[in-house]
Amino acid sequence: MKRPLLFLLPFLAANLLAEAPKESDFYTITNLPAPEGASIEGGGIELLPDGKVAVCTRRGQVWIIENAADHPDKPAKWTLFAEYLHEPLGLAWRDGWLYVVQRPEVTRLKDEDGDGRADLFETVSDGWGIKGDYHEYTFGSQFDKEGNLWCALCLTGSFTAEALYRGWILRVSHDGKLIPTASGVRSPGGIGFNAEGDVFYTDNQGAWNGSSSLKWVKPGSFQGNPNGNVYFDFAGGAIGDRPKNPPFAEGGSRTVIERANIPELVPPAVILPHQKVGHSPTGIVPDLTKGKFGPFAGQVFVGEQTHSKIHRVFLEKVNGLYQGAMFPFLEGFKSGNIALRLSDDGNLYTSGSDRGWGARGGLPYNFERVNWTGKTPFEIHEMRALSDGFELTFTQPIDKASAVDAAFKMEAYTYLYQKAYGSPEVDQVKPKVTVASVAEDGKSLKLKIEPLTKGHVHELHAEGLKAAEGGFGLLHPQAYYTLNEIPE
Amino acid sequence: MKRILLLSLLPSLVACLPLSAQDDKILELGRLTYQSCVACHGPDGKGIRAGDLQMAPSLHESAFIKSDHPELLTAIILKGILKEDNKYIQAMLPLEAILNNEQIAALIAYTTKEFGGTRRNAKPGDVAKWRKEHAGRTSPWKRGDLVEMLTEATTPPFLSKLRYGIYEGKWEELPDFSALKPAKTGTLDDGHLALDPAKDRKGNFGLVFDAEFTIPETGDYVFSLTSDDGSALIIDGETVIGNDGIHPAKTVRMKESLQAGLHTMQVQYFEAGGNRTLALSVKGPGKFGTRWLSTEKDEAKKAAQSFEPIPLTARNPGEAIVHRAFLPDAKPRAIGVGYPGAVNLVWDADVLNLAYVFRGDFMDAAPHWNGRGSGSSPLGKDRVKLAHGLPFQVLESLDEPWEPFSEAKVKYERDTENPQKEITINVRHPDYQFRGYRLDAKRFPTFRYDYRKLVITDTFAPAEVDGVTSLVRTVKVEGDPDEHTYFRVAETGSQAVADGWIDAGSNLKVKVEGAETVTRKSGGKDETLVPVAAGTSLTLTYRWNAPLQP
Repeated sequence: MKRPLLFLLPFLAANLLAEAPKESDFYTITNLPAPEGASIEGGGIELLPDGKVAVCTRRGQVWIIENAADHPDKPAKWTLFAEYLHEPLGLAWRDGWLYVVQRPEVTRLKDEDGDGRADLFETVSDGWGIKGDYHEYTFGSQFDKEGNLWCALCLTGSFTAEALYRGWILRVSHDGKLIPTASGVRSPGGIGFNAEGDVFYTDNQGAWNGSSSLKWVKPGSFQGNPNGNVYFDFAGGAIGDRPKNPPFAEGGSRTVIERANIPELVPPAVILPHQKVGHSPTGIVPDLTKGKFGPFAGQVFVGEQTHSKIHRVFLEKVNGLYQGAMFPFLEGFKSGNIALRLSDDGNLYTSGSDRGWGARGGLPYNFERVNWTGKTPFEIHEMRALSDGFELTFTQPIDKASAVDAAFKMEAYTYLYQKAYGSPEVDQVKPKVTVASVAEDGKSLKLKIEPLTKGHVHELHAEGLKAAEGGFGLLHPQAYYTLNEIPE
Repeated sequence: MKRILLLSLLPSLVACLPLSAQDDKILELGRLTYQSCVACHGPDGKGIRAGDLQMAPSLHESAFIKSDHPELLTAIILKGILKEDNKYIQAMLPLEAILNNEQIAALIAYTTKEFGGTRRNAKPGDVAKWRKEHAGRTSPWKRGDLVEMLTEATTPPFLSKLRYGIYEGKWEELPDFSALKPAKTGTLDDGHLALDPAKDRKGNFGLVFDAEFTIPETGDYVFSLTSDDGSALIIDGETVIGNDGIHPAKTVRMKESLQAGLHTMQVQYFEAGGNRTLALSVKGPGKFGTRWLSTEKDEAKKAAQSFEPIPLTARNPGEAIVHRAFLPDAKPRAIGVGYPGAVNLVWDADVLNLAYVFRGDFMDAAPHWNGRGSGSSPLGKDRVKLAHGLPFQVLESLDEPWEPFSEAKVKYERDTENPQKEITINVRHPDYQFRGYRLDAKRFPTFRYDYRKLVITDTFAPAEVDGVTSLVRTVKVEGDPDEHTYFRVAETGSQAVADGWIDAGSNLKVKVEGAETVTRKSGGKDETLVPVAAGTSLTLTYRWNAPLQP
C-alpha cells in the first residue's frame, strides 16, 4: 500500500533493493477467514487443552476453532459455542470451564449436554459497577499461577469513574473472590503477563496519560489517573489508603517528579510513544516458546489496534521498577488487533476490529496467525540500561566496522503528567552517543549516552549499523527505552 | 454543493454603479419581503428582545449576511435553521413554500445592504437553480452545517494539484494500483475529490487521487474517510486509513499528528457494484474547523448516523435468544430474552428481577454492534414494566416501603481536590448475589441468584392462555426464609382482582398461583406482595388482554 519512493531508485543498486530483508521473510501472517455471516471482532483468545483455539468477539460470540494452527493446509473449522454475551474482552480456560470476561461480569461457561453449545453460564463475579457507557470496558487476562483472572476496568467515558471501581484493576479468583488490586487506570486495551508471570496492562493516551504505554500492575499501585480513587472508600483497605492526588493545576507535572510525592505511583514500564509507534496498544503476550517463535524468547508482544501492528518489548527490573524498550515487530494486519495469544509451539494468534476506533488494516475484523519462518531477522535483541548508557545485544553478529558513533542517533523526551488530554513531547534532550565497546563476538555493544535523563524515553535510531553477514541494516533500527531508573 | 468563486472586486464594483430604477424596485420588493422576518429579527435587524433572551439573532452581526455568499443565504431562507439550544427563542422557519425566487433574491439584496453593509446580488435564476440543488433536503440546517458551508465557501480549496486516474478491474479489495495502468487520467481543479470522472461507469472500477495540501499549524488532524466500496487514505506515503473491502457506506476516522507545511495525499478507491460513494473530511485544531475534501458529504453524515437494522432471531425454530447488552429501561446488566411465540422480556441482573415484558419482534442489535456500541433496541410493542426493583424483602410491618434499587451516593467531581457534587451509583445489595443462568434444550434460561440464605431460581416460558400467548414465570425458593419475607408481584394498576387475575395496567393481567397474595397501598401505589415460606414455588402468568395485533 505504501507508495514506492521512486526518486530514491537511481541511488540504490537494483540488486540490493531486491534482496533487502523485509518482515515477511521472517514472520508470515496467515488469515483465517471468518465463518459465513460472523463478525470475528476478537476481544480475547484462549488455547484449549485439546489443541483447539477459542475466541470471544465484541459482538458477544464465543467460537471454538479446530485446525487453527494448520490452516489453510487443513482448513480451520469454526463452531459457535456461545453468543449474545456483553462485549467480552477476556477468555480463559480452567478445569473444564471457559471463563469469559464480559463487560458486566466474569462468567464461566460449560456445555453440559454435549451438543457443542454452552448451556451453563455461571456468574463468577460481578463485583464492579457499570453505568451504561460504552467506554466501561472490562479487559481480562488468562489465569495467573494463583488461579486469578486480572480485570482492567476502563473509566466511564474514559474520563470519570461514575460506577464502582471504574479505573481499577481487580483480581477475580476462579471461585469468585474479588480482590481490588490497583487504581489509576484510564482506558486499557489489554492485560496479560510477562515471562516471569508479573502482570502488565496497556493504557491509552488521554487524560493523565501523555502517551500510551505498557504498565506494570504492581499490586497496590496507583497507575496515574486519580479519577477512580474515590472507590478506595469501598475497597475496605484492600490496597491501603487512598494515594495523594497529583497536581490538578493546568500544565500538570511530570511522572518522575510526582513519584517522589505519591509513593504508590508506578510509572509506565515502557512508553509506546504516541503517534510515532501507534495510537492504541492492546493485548499482551509473553514469548514462552523457548525459541519456537524466533529469537525473542522471554520477551513480550503487544498489540496495536490503530496501526494494525504488533510491537515487541524487552523488560528489565531496575531498582525494583520495570522498564525497558519497545521495538517495532510486525505490521500489515488486516484490522485492528485487540486480542493476542501465543501458543508454546509458536503460533501467535491475533484478532480485533476497527469498530468505533479506526484501524489501518482496513477490514472490519480479523483473525490472523503469525508464524516464524525459521530465518533470524537482524534486530536489536535486548536494550539494557547501564549507569552511563545502554547495552545492545543483537540477534546476529554485527559488522564491527559499522559500529561507529555516527551509526547511532538518540533523542530523549518525556510527557506532561496532567489532567488535560495527552501531551506533546516535552523536555527534549539531545544526548551525545558514543560507542564505548563492541563485544568480541559482535553480538553486543555498549553505548555511552551523555546525558542519561531519568524518566525520559530514550529514542534510539541505529540506521547505520550493519550485519556481519549480508551487510544489511537492522530490520527495525528504532528502539524506545523508558528510563524510569538509572542503574548504579 | 458547487463552490462559489470569490469575487473580491464585486463589492466595490457594485458600490460604483449608479442606482437604477430597477435596483429601487428590487430593494423595495426586498423591504416588503423582509416584513415576514421582522417578528423575530426586528425592523432594524437587531433581533427582538424578550426578557433576557432574543427571539432571533441580530443580522448586523451575522457572518452569513456579511459574507459574499448569496447561495448560502438562499439555502438558509429556503430551509430555515434548527433550534438546537436556548440561545434564541425561535427556530428559523423554512420559507421555501412562502417565498418565490424573485422575493428571495430581493430579500438578499435588501438585508445585505441594510444590515451587512455591502449589497450582495443574486439573480432569481440562480435562486431557482439553488432551490433545485437543495430540493432533496427536508430538514432545516444545523448551525454547524452553515458554519462549515461558510468556511468551505470562503477559504481556498484545501487540496491542490488534485489529479486522478481511473482503473478498470473487478476487485473485492483494493488492488496494488502502482502495478496497474490507468485507463484515463485527469485533474480536478476545484480541489475536491469526486466520483464524477467515473460517472459513466457501471462498476468494477478504481480511482486513485493524488494531491498536495498545506497544514497551517502543527497538531492533531482527524481524517474521516467514507466509502462504498473500499478506500484507503495515504499521507506522505504512509497508509493512514484503511476502509477496504466491499461494503455499504462506512466511515473510518483516524487522528494524525501533522507538522505544519506541505504534505502529499493519495486516496485509493474501488467500486464493485451497487451504490457508490466517496467522502473525505479533515478536522483540525482551533480555527481550522472541519474541511470537506470531497464534493460528497451528505452520504458521510448519513453513514455516521444510521445503521442497517440487525433484528435478532433464534438460531433454530422453537429456541429462545438470550441477549446481554445495554437495554433501555433497565440497569446496565440487562438481559433480553426472546421466546418463540413473539413474547419477550428484559431481566435485570443488577436488581435480580424482571424489568419488563413485550411482544412482537425481539431486538435490533444494530446500535449495539455498530460504532462504539450504545446498546440494543427492543423491537415489538405492548411493553409493560412490572415491579422493576428488588424482588424480595423482609417487611416487619406492611407499612415499610419497598426498596426499589440498591444505590449509594458518592461525592464526585472529575479532577477536583474536594468534590462537592454527589452522584448516585448502582451497588449490589448485600443480601443478593447473581449466580448466572442455565439454558434448557430450547435455550430458555433459568436465572439463579442468592437472597440471604435462600437460593432463588426464576424461569419463564411462553404459553397459550385463553387464546393469548402469555409468559408463565416460575419463581422457586430453596432454603428456609427469614420470617416476614415477601416477594413483590406488581406495583402498578388498580389491583382489581377478577377470577384470580390482577390488573397490572397497560392492558396486562397477572395471575399468581402457589401462595396467597397480599395487597397494600405503599408510596401512593398499589402493591401486590406474596409472603414466602420454605419451599415456596410461585407461578406467575403474565397475559395481555388481547392477542398480539400484527
